[in-house]
Amino acid sequence: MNFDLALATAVAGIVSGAYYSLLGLAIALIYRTTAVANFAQGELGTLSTFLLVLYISRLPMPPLLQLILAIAIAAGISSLAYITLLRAQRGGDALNLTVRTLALYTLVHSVTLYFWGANEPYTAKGLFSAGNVDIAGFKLAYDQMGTLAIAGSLGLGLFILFRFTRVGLAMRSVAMNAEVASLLGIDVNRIALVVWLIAGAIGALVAMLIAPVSFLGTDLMQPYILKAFTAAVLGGLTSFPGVVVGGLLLGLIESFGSTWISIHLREPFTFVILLLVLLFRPAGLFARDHAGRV
Amino acid sequence: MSSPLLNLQDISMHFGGVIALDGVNLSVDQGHIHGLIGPNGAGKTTLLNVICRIVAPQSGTLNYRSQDLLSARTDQLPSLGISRTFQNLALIDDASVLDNVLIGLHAHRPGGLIDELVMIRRGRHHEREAREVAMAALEPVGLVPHAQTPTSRLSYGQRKMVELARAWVGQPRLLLLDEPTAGLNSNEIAHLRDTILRVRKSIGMTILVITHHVEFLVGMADEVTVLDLGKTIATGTPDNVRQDPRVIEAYIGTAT
Amino acid sequence: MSTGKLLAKIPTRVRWVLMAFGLLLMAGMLSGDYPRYVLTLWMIYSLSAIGLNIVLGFGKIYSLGHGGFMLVGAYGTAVALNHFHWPASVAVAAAGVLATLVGILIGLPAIRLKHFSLAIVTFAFGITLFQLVKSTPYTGGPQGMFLDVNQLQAIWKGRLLWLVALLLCLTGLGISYSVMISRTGRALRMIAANETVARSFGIGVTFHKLAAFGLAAMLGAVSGGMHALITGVVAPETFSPDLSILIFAAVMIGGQGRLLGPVLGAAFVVAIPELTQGARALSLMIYAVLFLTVVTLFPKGLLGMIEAGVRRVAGETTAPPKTVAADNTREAP
Repeated sequence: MNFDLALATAVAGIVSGAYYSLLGLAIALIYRTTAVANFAQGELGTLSTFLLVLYISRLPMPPLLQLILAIAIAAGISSLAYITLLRAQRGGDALNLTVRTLALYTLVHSVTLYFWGANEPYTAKGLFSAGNVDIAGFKLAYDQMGTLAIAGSLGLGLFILFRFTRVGLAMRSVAMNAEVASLLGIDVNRIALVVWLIAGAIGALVAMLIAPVSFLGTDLMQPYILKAFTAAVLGGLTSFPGVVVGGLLLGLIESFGSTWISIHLREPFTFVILLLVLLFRPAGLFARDHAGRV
Repeated sequence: MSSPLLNLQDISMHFGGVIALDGVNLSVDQGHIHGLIGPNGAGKTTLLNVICRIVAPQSGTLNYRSQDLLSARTDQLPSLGISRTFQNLALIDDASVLDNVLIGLHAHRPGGLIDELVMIRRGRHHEREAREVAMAALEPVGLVPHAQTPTSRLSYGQRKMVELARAWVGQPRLLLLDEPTAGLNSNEIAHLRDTILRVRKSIGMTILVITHHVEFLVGMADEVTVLDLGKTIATGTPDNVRQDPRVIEAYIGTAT
Repeated sequence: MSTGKLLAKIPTRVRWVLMAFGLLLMAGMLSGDYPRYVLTLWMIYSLSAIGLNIVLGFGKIYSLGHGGFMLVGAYGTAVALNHFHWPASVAVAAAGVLATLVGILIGLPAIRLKHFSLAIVTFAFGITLFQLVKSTPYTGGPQGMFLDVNQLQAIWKGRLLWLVALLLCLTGLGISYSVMISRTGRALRMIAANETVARSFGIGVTFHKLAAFGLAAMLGAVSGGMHALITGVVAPETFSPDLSILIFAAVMIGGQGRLLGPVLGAAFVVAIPELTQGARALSLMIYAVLFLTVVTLFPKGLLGMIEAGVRRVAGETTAPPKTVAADNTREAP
């Protein structure tokens, strides 16, 4: 493989890895604070992207505001889902709560299918202009750069949030041990709500970045959700930076896998890597050890 | 003098930077009831976990019936005749009392997956036998009428009794009790002491009891070992230990 | 032992179930061809859900690749029929055995992985099998394979397959019941409650987990094989990861860890789409809303919902009261 191809493959891998990382972060956040594996993580993003492309973009608003509105709607629906489905009815165990998100996924999917399924796929206008930038003979597309820039800033923003703000600290405490956190005076319910809000926003933003590249269809996020879960697991659910690294690694492995081996065997190849990692580190690459309590 | 049934020498155990056990010595003679007391965080449950091979100590020797126990695995304990209860009751919540007690017989009854699936006569016979033994174990703790009740519907005291029944239904040689009095009222504690003494008489087991309730051990325990911050600070009869100034100091603020 | 005495030994609850299935059998025999076809599918999905219930309901093991076992069963049957020309029943049985081995293989990660990670791995397994049969010419590639089972389907206009499906479902229930009341079932539930504690009672965690997976795989594979025989075709899209999610939903909706839960759940996932077919595009939405409502308001599933309803009608309050200790003064735990 010559250098140019390797570099192009690597860049493609990092870009898709960025998606996996962000989504994986959203999933890990929700899992750690509310003990729920959120199956609906991607669908809400698809929904808000449809709203953006088909309706909001026709409103007389500057594009940036349109984007923010769409993201806000996703965040709002996400929090609403948390309040009505999870908080209001606490009867079930973790498995039951997870199944509720599965049902939510089915519902949102059915809604997007009902309204927009017939005429798909749609094209979404890119957030960045077409064209490439030439860096020492290597062509980097504007939208790849833009995606990495946005993903990077989002990642940085989350990092700052977790490390340097009180809310972020509260979120990390709840993620480590919700019971102890509430004993320390943290309003776990409020934090959970914030987490679902942020996760909804992340999902929407990622969907909006992906839509212009693939076509906008009702199964826009489907390939990404499993990869996002995988990124979360690879990184070790307890370590947020770990999830980011896990996602990037996954993107790279996938990219090189499909170039080197075959695009059809991409899924099995990734699966084998995942299995090998978990074989040696069952708790993920970066997890801190958590012994079971007796 | 015959060697002790259970003998721990110089057991040290640390988790990362936290020293849980520091050169602990403990010796339990056959047929005795031995108390292990100490304030919270003294390392009592950790010691029990070491004996049960749930954790491995960094140094020290652990002998059971004069043989090294450190090389044993947790799932080998029942066949060695060691059984225990857990501080945070580890029962199957939505299963019946009887089913929970039957867990205690798992290692003591043969069973084959095929036998059970096809429910042939041999499988049914084994199952019936096991149920009879389990029901008998419910008698001393007074739970026979609740045999089919899901344990989630019992009171805390009753669930503790289910744990106990599960622990001794297999007629263990060595019984380890982790805070059996926690959460019980004084009537239940008295009842518990009677039950333990009665069952001990019929089975002839040796008992190691962790408790922070010194009064419980008076009139019951033959010896008591006191642990504080991972170290053994006293050993002796309950009365001696109760009056030991070092023990009193360790317990300052804890009235019993 | 005379038949009368044998019948008298059957517990009351079992009698009710047998009676219900007897009536069901009659209904299927007397109904039109299409309703019978739907009922047959219901029995098949029930069998699969019963298998998953052993792993997911009893063992609380997050297995999200159950569709993969059905795939092995279906494709195994198809290959045995088309390429080896084995008779149908032998084909299905062989596929079942193959799947059991696969199940044990898939169970291996379950020994060390928990919840989330295990869910991903099992789901990835389902995807992998799906991609594999989709891209292999031997298994018919993306189009799949047609099975030459027209004669089988034509017998009594599908009544033979209906009878077989119902009997298989009953057998599955029988196996599930045996597991529930046996030492193995108790061990599985203890492992689900606390693995370390289970070990301390001599329970072999590895053995029981693998046994659960093996059993689930076998039932799933027989279900898949029957599906192939009934529909006459195996196609990758039928056994996509969505199928795993469907059976998973069926177990949870019906009432996980209960004997009849899977049968109820399978009824739900088969019946609702059938009943709402007229509403076309709304059909999926109606299904989703009902799905969401059931799992949110009734964490114990449809079975729990029915039981609560029966209790309410019988005059009790929502749940039987806890027993109370005689003396209420307590020491702090």
